[in-house]
Amino acid sequence: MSGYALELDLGSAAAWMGRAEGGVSLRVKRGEIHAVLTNSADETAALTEILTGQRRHVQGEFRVDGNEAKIRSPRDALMLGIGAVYRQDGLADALTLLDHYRLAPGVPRGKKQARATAEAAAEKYGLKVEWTIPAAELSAVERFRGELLCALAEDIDILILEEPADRLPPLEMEKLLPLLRRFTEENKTVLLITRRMETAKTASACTDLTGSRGTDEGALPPLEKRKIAAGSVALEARHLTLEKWGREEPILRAVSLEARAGEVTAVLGLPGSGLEALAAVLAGLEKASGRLRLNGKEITTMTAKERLRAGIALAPGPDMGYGLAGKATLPENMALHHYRSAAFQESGFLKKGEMRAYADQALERQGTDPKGDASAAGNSTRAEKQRFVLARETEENPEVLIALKPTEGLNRAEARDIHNRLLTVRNNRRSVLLLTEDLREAMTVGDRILVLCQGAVTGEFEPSWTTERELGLYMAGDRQQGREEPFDEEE
Amino acid sequence: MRKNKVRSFLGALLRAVFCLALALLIGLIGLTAIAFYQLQSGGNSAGLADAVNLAMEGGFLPLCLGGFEAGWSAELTAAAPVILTALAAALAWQAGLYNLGLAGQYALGAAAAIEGAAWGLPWFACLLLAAAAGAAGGVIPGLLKARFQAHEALTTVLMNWICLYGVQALLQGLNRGMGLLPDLGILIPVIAAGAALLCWGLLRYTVPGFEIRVLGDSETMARYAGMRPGKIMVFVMALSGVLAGIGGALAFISGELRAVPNLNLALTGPGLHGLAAAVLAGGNPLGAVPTGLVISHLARGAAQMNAAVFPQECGEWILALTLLLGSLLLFWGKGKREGGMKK
Repeated sequence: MSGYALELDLGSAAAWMGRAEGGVSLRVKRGEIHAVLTNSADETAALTEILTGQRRHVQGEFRVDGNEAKIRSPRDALMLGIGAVYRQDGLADALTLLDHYRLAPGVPRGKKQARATAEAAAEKYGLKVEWTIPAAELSAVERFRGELLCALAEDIDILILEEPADRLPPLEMEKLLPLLRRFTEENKTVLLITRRMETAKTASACTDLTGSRGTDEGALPPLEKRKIAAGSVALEARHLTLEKWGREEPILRAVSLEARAGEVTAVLGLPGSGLEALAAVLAGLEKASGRLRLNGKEITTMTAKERLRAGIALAPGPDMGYGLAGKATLPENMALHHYRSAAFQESGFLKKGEMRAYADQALERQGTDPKGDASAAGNSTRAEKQRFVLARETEENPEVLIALKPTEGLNRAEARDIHNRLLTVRNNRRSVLLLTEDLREAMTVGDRILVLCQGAVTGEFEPSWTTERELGLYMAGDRQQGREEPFDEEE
Repeated sequence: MRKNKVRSFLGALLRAVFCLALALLIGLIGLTAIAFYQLQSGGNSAGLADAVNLAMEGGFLPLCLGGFEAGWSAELTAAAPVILTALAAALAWQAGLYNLGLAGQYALGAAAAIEGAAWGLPWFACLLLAAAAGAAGGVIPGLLKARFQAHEALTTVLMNWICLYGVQALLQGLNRGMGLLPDLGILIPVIAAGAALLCWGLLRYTVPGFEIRVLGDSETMARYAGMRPGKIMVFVMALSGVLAGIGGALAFISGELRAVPNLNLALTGPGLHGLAAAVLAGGNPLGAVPTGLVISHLARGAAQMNAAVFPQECGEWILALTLLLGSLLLFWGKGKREGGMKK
């Protein structure tokens, strides 16, 4: 018995995404809350996949409790007692938490017995969850709790949490810690795989896989946030309500907001709060009821293309899936908004040369290195893709730039670069609407913060007058401006 | 960049060859089993070696080599319809659509061409008629998808039956003669190759081609770019139908192939073969030419197998296996995508 619950030695560079230098070495003791610090969401995901058996061709050594083991499938991982809660929500919307819970092998068959077991488990760990409501109607926090309980039901020895801070506001993260400690008191182990320093700091031991690329603030370029007086209202939205067929609750509930020139208006929400829907509605990709005005002009009935021409640009983030067409080349992507214009096509034939020239110029103007080749745009890193998307949208010189989760999955240096690009737009007296799930980002980059919770705006804040904790409360729906609700400790 | 392109080409080539080889191998094993069973039931106690022998001589070798017998011109001519249906499938696939109605569109095209011939129209007019008929067969599922989000995999398959039965009723009732048109000879494979080039050029260099590719990437992406997904879908399905329709016409108005387009043949014929060829080519129009050639060669070989032991279905079974394996490999690497919003 080596005393280690988990040992991982990955020698091959291929097994470890994107790292040129050597492999990975991990030693985790039993009863520890062990953090693993990575560079980016991609690395976090890669490591989690390896440990939970979702990657097959992994070259390396793996030992559980001193015994050599092979994790070839999620089943293997389960057999070894490894369970996980992932960065991305894994619940089926139509099923209830109880349905999910009953999928675990250890849970008794009968519905009543299962429910009793489930509630006992929730009681034991001090979590309150709704067992019999379809997951679609639960808040992001409840969904996380539900997934956590389901993972714990599997009789595991090692619990892996992949980037929990991406799913939980700070207060919930604080509440998570005692629960994890209780878990480790049963001589079990917790593995926190994260790219965030503050999450890593809560652990009792840490393995740093960042390859000393430096993730502390000192190494980052400064944030170019100049003092600018806010200008007039550029974008005004009133009572935007979006209902979707088949869903009981509206996705957006009478959302009203104002974005001013020379300001970054941050809209902050948890996963599932309606950020993507809001972006789609503002950009014209989805029709919602309500009114929308740009610089005083009514644009509610305009199509997406018309809105772009009027001055609203949407830059979807790296995880959104519709910023760049992966199969098309980079020049084609850069010319996406104008491919029909006479500049880029003639009687139906694309002018590839002109597209290339435009792409190179646009990218250089925005200070991005043009890739220079005609290969599919999908072959770029996340950060590169986001820079391309931003370059394309800022080329339009929009009045309002909507950035939807622009730094999702990026490491600090890359995120800082993106932030500075957004701030350049702001410093040029344009308006930036930053829709994000990242609290820190909203507070550092935003001039004003609006909190979106389950489709409704629950509060408006000035970053210097609020705290992460307070914002977290509003994000989770525990508090709402305009309604004096007592703060319930148990929630 | 160069290196990347070469690597992906080689990767695709390797994948296609591997699929074919594996399908043939499994096919050989299957043929041996059938041979064994046949020999046993014949009363004589035959050994495994005899079965293998029979399988090779009566089945496998004719399958692989039978196509060569009639010479190159026959090969190329027979390959043309398969290449065209493969192009039809590949083009639709580029837009993210699964056109499984190739057989039906093919039959419509054939029927239209034959009708045209019976009316004494020249060959290019017959081809145009075939194109129109095929387009009709493709447009309907396209419209259903654009307007009602009816999944084309389902609607095209059902259209197959409508088209096939309709064509059968029409042609048998009217009892038209075959081969009313001159043997177009070398023109046939030229048309097929030309179509492949045109498809490739369309996708790569034209505006509609760009829209098709973006739609194939994700529908949200297309709407974000200001495109109208519905319009593009209808266009692609129509074009796909045109290609399949012309394929059908070419099969029946040439001097080479003479057969009534009966239900059986049309279903197991180019409908399936085109799909297999498209999948082996990874959806690439230019790739559809060599894969179409190979598949059609195998199909002709299948007809040469010892019919007493191996009915023609055996050959078709092997081709179907190719399709299955090809699809598996094509989607192998696409399992994990970045998380995030549904596309």
